[in-house]
Amino acid sequence: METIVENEEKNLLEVEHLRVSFHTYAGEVQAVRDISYTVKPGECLAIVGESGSGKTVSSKAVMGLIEKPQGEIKEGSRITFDGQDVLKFTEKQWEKFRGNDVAMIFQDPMTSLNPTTKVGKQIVEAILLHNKMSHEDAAKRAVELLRMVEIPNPEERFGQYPYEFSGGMRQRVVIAIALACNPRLMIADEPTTALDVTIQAQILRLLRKIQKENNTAIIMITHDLGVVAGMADKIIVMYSGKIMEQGSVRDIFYHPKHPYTRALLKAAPSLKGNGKEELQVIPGTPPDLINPPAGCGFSTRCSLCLKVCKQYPPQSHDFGEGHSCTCWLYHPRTVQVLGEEKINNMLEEQ
Amino acid sequence: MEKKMAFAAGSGTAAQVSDDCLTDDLFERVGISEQESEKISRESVSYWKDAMRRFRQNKVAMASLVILLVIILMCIFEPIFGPIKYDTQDYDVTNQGPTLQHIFGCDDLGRDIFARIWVGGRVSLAIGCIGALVSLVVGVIYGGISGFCGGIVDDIMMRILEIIVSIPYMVVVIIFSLFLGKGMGSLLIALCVTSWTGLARIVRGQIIELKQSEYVLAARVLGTPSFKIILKHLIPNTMSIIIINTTFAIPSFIFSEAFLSFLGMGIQPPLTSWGAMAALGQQQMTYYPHELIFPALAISVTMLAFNLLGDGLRDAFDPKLRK
Amino acid sequence: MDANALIHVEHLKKYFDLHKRGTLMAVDDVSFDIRRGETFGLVGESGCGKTTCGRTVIGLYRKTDGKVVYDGRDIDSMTEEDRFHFKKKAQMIFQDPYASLNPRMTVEDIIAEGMDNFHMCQSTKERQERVYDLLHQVGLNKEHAARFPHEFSGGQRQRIGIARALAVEPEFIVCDEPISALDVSIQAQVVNLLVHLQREKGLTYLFIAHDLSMVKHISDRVGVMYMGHIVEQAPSNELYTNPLHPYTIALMSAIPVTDPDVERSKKVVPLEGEVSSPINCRPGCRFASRCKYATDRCRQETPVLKEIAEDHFVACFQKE
Repeated sequence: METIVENEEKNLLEVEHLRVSFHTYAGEVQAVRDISYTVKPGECLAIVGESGSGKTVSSKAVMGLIEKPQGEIKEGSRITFDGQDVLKFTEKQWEKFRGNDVAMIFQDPMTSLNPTTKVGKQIVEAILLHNKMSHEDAAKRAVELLRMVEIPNPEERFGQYPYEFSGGMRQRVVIAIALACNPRLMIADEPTTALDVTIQAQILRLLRKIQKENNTAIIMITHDLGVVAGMADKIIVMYSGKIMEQGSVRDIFYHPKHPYTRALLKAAPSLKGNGKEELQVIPGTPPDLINPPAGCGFSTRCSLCLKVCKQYPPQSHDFGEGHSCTCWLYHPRTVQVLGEEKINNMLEEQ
Repeated sequence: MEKKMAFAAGSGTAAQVSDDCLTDDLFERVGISEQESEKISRESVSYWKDAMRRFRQNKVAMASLVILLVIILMCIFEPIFGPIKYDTQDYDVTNQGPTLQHIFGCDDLGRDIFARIWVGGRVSLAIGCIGALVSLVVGVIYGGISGFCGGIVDDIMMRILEIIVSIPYMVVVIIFSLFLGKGMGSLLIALCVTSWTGLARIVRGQIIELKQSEYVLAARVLGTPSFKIILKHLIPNTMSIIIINTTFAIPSFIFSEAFLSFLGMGIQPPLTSWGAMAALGQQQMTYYPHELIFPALAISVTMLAFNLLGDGLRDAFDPKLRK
Repeated sequence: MDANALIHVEHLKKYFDLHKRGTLMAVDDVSFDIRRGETFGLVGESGCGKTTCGRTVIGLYRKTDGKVVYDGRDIDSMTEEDRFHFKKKAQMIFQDPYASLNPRMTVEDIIAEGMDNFHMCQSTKERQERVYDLLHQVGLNKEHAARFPHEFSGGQRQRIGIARALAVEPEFIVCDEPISALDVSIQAQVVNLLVHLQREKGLTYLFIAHDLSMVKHISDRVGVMYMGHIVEQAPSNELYTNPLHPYTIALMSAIPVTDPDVERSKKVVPLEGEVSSPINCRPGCRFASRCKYATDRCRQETPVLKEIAEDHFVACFQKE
């Protein structure tokens, strides 16, 4: 019963067949190669991937931050936010969209703060840009926001400059600015990578609180599986510009299907382990997306690689309830030729 | 249901593989070959080769380069092979406008402006190039020593530099022309004395930054002696900035020379330069504008070309645009 | 002093004079031993002085006070020859694989830099062979020798950095956050390589990092640094199963676990506030301002490391 209700809930964001390329001197870099996903209101979607996997580019496309003429969103891509086709937006519509509906938090808080303007003023400006209210009310709301992101003495901090804040506090200010207009979707691009673990824990707690209290959907982009485990409802694993696997947190962590996801989970050392046993390694280096491999992007590093993986791109295989995996091992022909048992053995020994 | 189908097809890329292609032998396990997993598919390019490739793709910069080459070649060869000498006076054609024989016209003493442009260009370009070269050598050495030694040496050298910066070069030019007489020599010396400071500061800043970089620290851990650190790490990595700045320095020298000659502080007749020609032309401007236009054009085109060339070099060398 | 210690650091201090803004006490009275063939981990948050500590030990920074003894000889009183020897035997691997390789040099020249300095090769051919051999040891191949750093990925560059350090046949390597700039799948490659090389060549590591799980994995003993002090030091398993200092406990609980059920149900010991920079510190425990157990004594007197259990040292009055 419950699943049906969930399915009927409208998607907040739909990304379909998104392809993004960058034109560089060395050639065309196909950063994102045909990905599709959806985000529901109030949901936290995590996009996990290594640097160069296209995770940041895919979310920048949602924000309209792909810079032309180097960057190009390819023909056939579609991004729909709440029923509107965002790729057809004019520059004016984009500006309104970015402030009102979607906000973005970057890895380095200093890049999104103006170093010469007081923190309070920056928040007030963000509020006034998208709301009609008096300056006093906006200032009040700004202090409220600072309190909401758990900055001690918000009244005093209101009049300070960004350099007087520490890294974690700056990131809180950035979140406060992002919250200024009650966005329905927040894109957080590695929000804690530049921070220490103890600060990271604070920021993640804050993001979780915001997600619950304001019913804000969050797209969390990260390379850290630990961060994802505590935050995400749904996870997308990206590699070489493509989605390798997607599913719920439990699917990805407890029933990973794709050899890449499985290897990634094993590569992280656990605190329970005992001394210097070898870590599971994913050998090699990610492919160069100027000349993407003909087959599966992970084939050069996959210990279970079949001949077919190098020649043809794999198709997505659906395991139900939104869990899908793009790998040849689950193709009906593979099962037919190798037999289910052999495939399971291969996965087991990986 | 429909949506689901679309999704499944979508993530598998447009090229659907039909089952016929999938012969049994394709499902053999190959695993990882070490060669392949570490392979670099791009061809190897050095920093300089890469920069030059980018430079060549920049049409504006390439056009500037061609224009500059033409100007330089004309300055060298026209006075040697040209039909009319630059100081031949012909009183029949004083202040004559452009004709077939004198394509840029003649000045108030009946001298051919076309021939004079190239002779004047020799002076202007020579001052530009020699000045830039001297300021390059002095600036790099001074800035390099100051940045590399740091501490008290750096403090003293920077204070000296600030004193030199604070003297207006006009004063220096006047003093030198008092001792050495007006002319190219005193002009050049005066310009050189004051002009290297900018580059010295830039080089010092670069060196200080590079000194902290991890590869220089690594070199120190590996026991690399100081002179080798300078030679192999610091200089090659400041080279691009030095080249760019020198390219920008040449037009500013040309302009300084033109400006001083215009004021009568520079080149003395019968020798000429673009600035001196413009000064003469300015007196006749109301009735014979061509006498001002052509030297002014020569100055403008050369300066513009050098600046655009510098822009092109900066774009080609700028590591931030590298991908 | 441990009889088997390769590196013995005693009351090491490194202060930076900030002119008008006072003195930055980056490393303040730190002592530890690193035994031959072991890995000593140094963890702490950014600004705690761990990198400065590593650089001071290896001699990149001139120490303010204290003693560094290498292989039984005090570095200060070494002869010129011994110092030359020390330079060769103590190497370093850097944090940023993009900044630690000179972009204008080929990989071959980068790796051979140390060998050239110590005149380890008689001919160009021998030099080349050694470079190929080193590339092979770190999992690259000889086609890579003629290429330039910008053509490599982060993990490959870090391995080139390791090859450069190995080239002079060191005994002791300071690994200064060698994996924090790398992707997870690449981190494991580099850590495995380091462990493998240690076993093969009997290397001794000082492993500096902020990632506690990796430090735990690679280290035999771990020191936890906070604002220039080592607050706790213990064998890694002991430290992770039985952390004693309130800071270590908070740090430990903040590490995200790659298991949703555990991560969502675990209790995080909240640590309010952030590390301030250690400028003009007064006596007293530096953690006192963030510590819920802090007493007046903590604010006035600086606790020193005391051995609580075997090989387990804590600097906290509450645990005495």
